[in-house]
This record gives sequence, C-alpha cells and structure tokens, in this order.
Amino acid sequence: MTHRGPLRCLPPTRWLVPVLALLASAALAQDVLAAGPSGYAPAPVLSPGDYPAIRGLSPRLAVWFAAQMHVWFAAFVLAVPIFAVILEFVGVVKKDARYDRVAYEFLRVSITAFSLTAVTGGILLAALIVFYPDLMKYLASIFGPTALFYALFFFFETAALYTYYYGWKRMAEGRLKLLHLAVGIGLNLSGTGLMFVANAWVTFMMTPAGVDAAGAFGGNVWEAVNNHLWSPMNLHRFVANIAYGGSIAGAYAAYRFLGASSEEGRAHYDWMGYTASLIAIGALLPLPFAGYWLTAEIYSFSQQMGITLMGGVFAWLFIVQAVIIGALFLAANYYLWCGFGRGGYGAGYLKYVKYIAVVVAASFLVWFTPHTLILTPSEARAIGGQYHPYLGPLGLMPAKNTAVNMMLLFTFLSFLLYRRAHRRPVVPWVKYGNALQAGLFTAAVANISFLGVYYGYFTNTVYKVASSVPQVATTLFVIVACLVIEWLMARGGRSEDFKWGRMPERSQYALILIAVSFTWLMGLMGFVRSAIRQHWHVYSVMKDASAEAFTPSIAYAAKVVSAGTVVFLAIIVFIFWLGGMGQEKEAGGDG
Amino acid sequence: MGRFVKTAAFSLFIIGLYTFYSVFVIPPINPGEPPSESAASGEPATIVELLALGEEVYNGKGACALCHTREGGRAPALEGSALVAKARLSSPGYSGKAVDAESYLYESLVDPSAYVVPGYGVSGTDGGVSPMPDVRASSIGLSETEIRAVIAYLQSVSGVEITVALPERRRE
Amino acid sequence: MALEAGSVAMQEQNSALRMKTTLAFIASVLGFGALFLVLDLLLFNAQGLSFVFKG
Repeated sequence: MTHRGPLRCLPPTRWLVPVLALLASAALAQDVLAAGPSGYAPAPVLSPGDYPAIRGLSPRLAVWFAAQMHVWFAAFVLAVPIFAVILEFVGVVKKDARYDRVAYEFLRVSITAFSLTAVTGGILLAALIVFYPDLMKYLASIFGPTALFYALFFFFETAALYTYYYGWKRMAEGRLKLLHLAVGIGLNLSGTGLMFVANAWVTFMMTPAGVDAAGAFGGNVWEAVNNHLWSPMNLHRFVANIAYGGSIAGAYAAYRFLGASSEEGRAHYDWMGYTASLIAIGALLPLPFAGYWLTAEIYSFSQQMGITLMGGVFAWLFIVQAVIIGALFLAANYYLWCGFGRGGYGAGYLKYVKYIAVVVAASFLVWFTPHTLILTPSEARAIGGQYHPYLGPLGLMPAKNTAVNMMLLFTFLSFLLYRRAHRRPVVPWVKYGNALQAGLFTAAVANISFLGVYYGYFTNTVYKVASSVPQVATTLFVIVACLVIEWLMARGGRSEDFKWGRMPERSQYALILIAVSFTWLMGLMGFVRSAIRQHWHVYSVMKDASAEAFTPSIAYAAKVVSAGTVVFLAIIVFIFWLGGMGQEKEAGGDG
Repeated sequence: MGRFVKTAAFSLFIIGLYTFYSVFVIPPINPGEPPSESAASGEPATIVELLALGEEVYNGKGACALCHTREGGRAPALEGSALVAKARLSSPGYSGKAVDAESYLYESLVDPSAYVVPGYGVSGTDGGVSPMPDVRASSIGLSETEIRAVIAYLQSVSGVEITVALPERRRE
Repeated sequence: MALEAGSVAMQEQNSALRMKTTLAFIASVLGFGALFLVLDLLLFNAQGLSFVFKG
C-alpha cells in the first residue's frame, strides 16, 4: 500500500530541508546572540550597485515566480490535510466509508506536492539570498530566532505527514483510528504554525513593527512578529487555503467524473466534486470579512498605503478581482442549478432559476462597474474628482456592498432550493414556513437596499462605511435564520437520496473554472499585497534601490500571473497523473 | 485523452480571458517611478518657484491630495486652511504650541494630532488622534524646504498673504 | 404547485389557506423588517453613530 515509481526519489528533500533549516537557524541565532541587544544597526541604505545582477535575468521576476509557485504549492498542501482530517472525522461520525476513501485518495494523489513545496521554498530562499542579499541580511538580523520555530514546525509536519499517510490503513480501527485522527490534527497544527512563522516575515515587510523610523531593531522579536498585518494575514491565508484546496479537489473530481466509465465511478466523483466545492465555497464566503480586517489594518498602519491599495493605481485591479469573483459566483450558482436534477423534486424549482440568474447577473454588473478612476492626484483634479460623472453612483462602495450582499443572499437561495430538490417537508405548517422564509428574504432585501441607498448616498463617508456592517449582519442573519427554519421544517420530512452522478457533463466545467479562477485570483491578489509596498523592501524603513524598484503595471502582473498559473496547473495535473497510476490498478478502473 | 485536451483548452481559455481583460480592457496604467529624494532641483529662489514646488509636492511626493479631497471625505479640504488657521489656535480642542497661522500649518504637517478637525479623528480615539502621518516620516519624507513650500502653497490657495520666508532669507 | 382542486369546498379551503399564508408573509415581512431596523440601530450605535442621520 505504498506508492511506487517516481515518487520514491523525492522524499529525501523532505528530510534535507528541515535539517538545513535547523542548521541555518542555529547559525543565525548565534549571530544574533553575539550581536547583543545593542548591536542592531538601522536598515541599510542601498544603491543600485548593491544588487547582484545576472545578465538576461530579471531578479524581481525570478523571485516573484519562485514565491508565487511556493505560495500556490504551500496553500495546496496546507489545505489538503485540513479537509482530509475533516472528511475523516465526518466519516467516523457518520460511519460512512465514502468520506474516508475520498480523504485518503486525495492525500495520496497530493503527497508529491509536499516535496514540491519544499523544493520551491528552497528555490525562493536561494533566489532571495542571491539577488537581495542585503535585505535578507537585515531580515535575518531581526527574525533569525524565528527560523528555529520554522525548522521545528517543519520537522513535526514532516513526521506527522508520514505517520498520517502511511498509517492510514494500519490505524483504521477502534482506538488506533482516533489516534490517527489526532496525528492528522497535529499535522495541521504544525503546518499552520509553519505558515504563521513565514507570514511574520512577509507582513513585517509591509507593516514593520519593533523597529524605529530608521529601521533599527529594538530587540523584541515578538513585537516584530506581531505586527499590524500578522493576525489578519494568518486568518486570511488560513481560510483562503481551505477554499483553495477545496477548489483543486473539486477540479480533480470533475476531471475524474468526465473520464469515469462506470455508473459507480461517476457517482463517486460527482459526490466528491460536490463535497469539495461545498468546502471551497463555504470557505470563500467568510473570506471578504477576513479581507476587510486585513484592509482595515493596512489603513490603520498607514492611510497612505491604504489609499494606494484601494484608490490609487490599483483601483482597477479590484475591478479585475470583482470580475473573477462574479465569475466564481455565477459558476457556483450554475453548478447548483445543474444539481437540481440530482433530486426527485428538483424540476419544480427550475422555474425560479431565471429570476435568481437575473439578480445575480445584475449584482455582478454593479459589482463590476468601475469605481474610482483616479490615477494620480493631478489627474483626479483634472477630471474634477475621483468618480466617473455617469457611472459614479453605481461605482461607489455602498452600491457594491449592496450588490455583493444581494449576490450572497441569492446564491444562498440557490442552495436552499437545491436542498429542497431532494427533501420535501411535511410538517403541517409548511405553507407558513415558506411564507416566513419569503418574508425574511423580502425584509432583508428591503433592509439591505435601504442601508445602501439612504446611508450610501444621503449621508457622509463615516455613515457609508458604517452602513456596510448592518448590511452584512442582515445577510448573515438571513442565512442562519433560514437554515434554522429549514431544519425545523425538514423534521419528519420525506427525503430521497441524491442520485449522484446524475449531472450533465457541462456542469463539471464549472468546477474546473472555480479552480482555475482561484489560482489566478490568488496570484493577482498576492501581487497587489506585495505591490502596495511600492518602492520599499520594508515599507517606510528600507528602500528598494534596485533598477526594478518601480511598481509594475497590472497588465504586466496579469501576464506573469497567467504564466505562473499555467505552469503550476500543469505541474498539479502531472502530480495527479503520477498519483493516479498506482490507484487505477488497485481500484479496478473506476476512474 | 479527449477529456484532457478539452479541460486543458477550457482552462487555457479562462486564463486567456482574464489576461485579455487585464491587459486590453482595463485602461493601461503605469505606476510612476519611485519619487526622487527631493522634488526640488535646487532651493527655490523666488516666491513663484516656492509656490510651484509647493504645488508639485502637494500633488506628488507629499501625497496630500490623496486624502484631502472634497469627494473622498477622508480628510478635511484644505482650500481655506490658511484662513481658519489663526482661529484654530484658540479652539478648545487645540493642544499644540503654535503661535500664528504659519506655525499652526507647520505643526499640522509634522504633528497632526495637535489639532484634529472634528469628525476626522481615528475612530475610537474620540477625535484625539489624527490618522495623518508626520510628513517628515520616511514613507513621505518631506524636507524642511518642501514643507515650507507646501505651507506657502496652502496660503496661496486660501487667498491669504504668503508669510513663508524663502530659504535664503530664513537662514540669515 | 399541483393543487388542482375539484370541488368548491376545496377551492374555498385553498383560498382561505392562500389568504392565511399571504397574511403570514406580510406579518413576517413586517416582523423581520422591524427586527432588522433594531439590528441596524444597534450596529450603528456600536460604531458610535446615531441611526438617524442629522445634517
């Protein structure tokens, strides 16, 4: 039950990296301790000559590409164990072997990605040390001690991964199964810890703390670690990783679904695709709130940085983001509508689809209307303000907040109808229950519109921003209240099993679209997160004096991200293909 | 193999669509070069040069216009700032050490929390702390001359007499 | 919905039910609407703002 062939040659990297990291951190720690608390120099002031150059190679592009690959792989390998454990746990609780099988299958096909995360991480580190030696020296002088934690987490993660993976079949029964689950949780804790350490380095570069205005370190590592963006970034990346892993798992299942030859195989992969994409969308929904926190912390650290992010040259990047999020919503809704056919009562709900589609599409258009056209402050003055004269009202944040809440509400409605497709409530008060839910939706739509229109357009900025809070609260209230009503109504109801596999082939492309869009969007948003530092290595503390200190355009970033996405997805497909080879023999070709 | 080609083509199409949108549909914006250490090529010799430098810094390196707009509402508009400066000194919320309109404006640039216009404080501080950074801080990093130039520019747009001395005369 | 009633009695029953569900719908719109208004008020308050905007 071990994997064979090409995978065998990769494991040494998994042991090599923690050992190297441990040695490096020991050396760094010695340096730091030898320097003593008074030995911290201000951040170096560099000149273009301080950057080693290799002819024909753009250092920034090399580092960017390596970092992007590493982050994609890392997000993926942090996510896989998270929902492997969740699925395993659900399987134990529900006593349903399907969950266990999917969890193991997914871990098995992904195992090579762990090595590749370490490899790309090594490449990234090497590229940084080669091309930005002074920056790395400066960062190491502050964060040297944290490398020890990094190495320890890496060591535990590797050990836990091996135990978790190779012990899956051996620890399948009774108490051993619980121990196995515990190992899985340990695997996730160490993986998450690893990410938190790396996040400290990245966020320090954006919102430095624990250093004075010249960048001289005060000696308190925790202060530097716990900078403005550390906690929101930890949360944002953690949640986003789950969404990302879910989307990749969904695409994997979709691909296997399309190739499945038996009814049983189709049913299995249809179910896996649905479960994975449910995890992906479920994790996507709270992401804007984590993003809101992240942005709020950016503003509280530096208004200037916040405005660079939201209102400056990057304003259009958020239009691109909006387009992709809109596409994700449409795809998710489309997938749910296709899924009506899985249940016996679904056909009756198809007539509502067109209305939901209109609302979601209209919200998408508002969400997509350009908001700020400001390019530079002088251009803003030339056009007499930040906003477009005609599209202005729709481009403002209140309209977008309203639209996104509507989109969330109606996507949730799609989900409710999807549930009803296989579940017919029979409690005597069904009609009243439905009326209650309809009333709830109507009142919510009215409240969200009122908040958006009145506070968005007839009051000042403080109210515009403040009104988004009750809007979101309304949406959340509807979701929770509707689910409670639904749960009460479902008691004793007739429910037939979903007919898994009864899905049109075209529905599977929605899952592939979700995975591709997530990958691309992560690349784009990673770019903007890094780009708002502008010409700084460490914002406001250490200037980038290299020839490539300028901020690249969105068009250029989009090309880099696209190239990265193609390369990354190609590698992922290759990994799945490798991982699938052994299995096809063993499972008797249901794939 | 058919499904591989189909799904790969579909994925490439999606990536292509996003790339096309980002490259050709949204307007091409090239972010400016990083600002040079000083916006001034030399010390301004005349009031006209001082005002020109002030306007340049206000809209460029100083990033003042990023927040101080009528539309944004993020920070108070500055068209009349030099006019109201004197009155601010006797306002109950004032906690600085300025003695006249010019020194008030200077103080507002380097110690913005000395007086926070009601409604524009950092939320949760009851208007006690301004969200504006010290313009000498390294993320903006204005020089003494640039700060004087901005004050002169503010006095000029407020339509009051320009009291800022040219650098040469101040040194005497 | 497949509520094809044959008899007059059924029709009357249906229209009574429809009447009642419509009333339930209106009541829940008003009820939840009031609840949302209270929620808005509290959330504006929590942010140090008055729900009724002045000026």
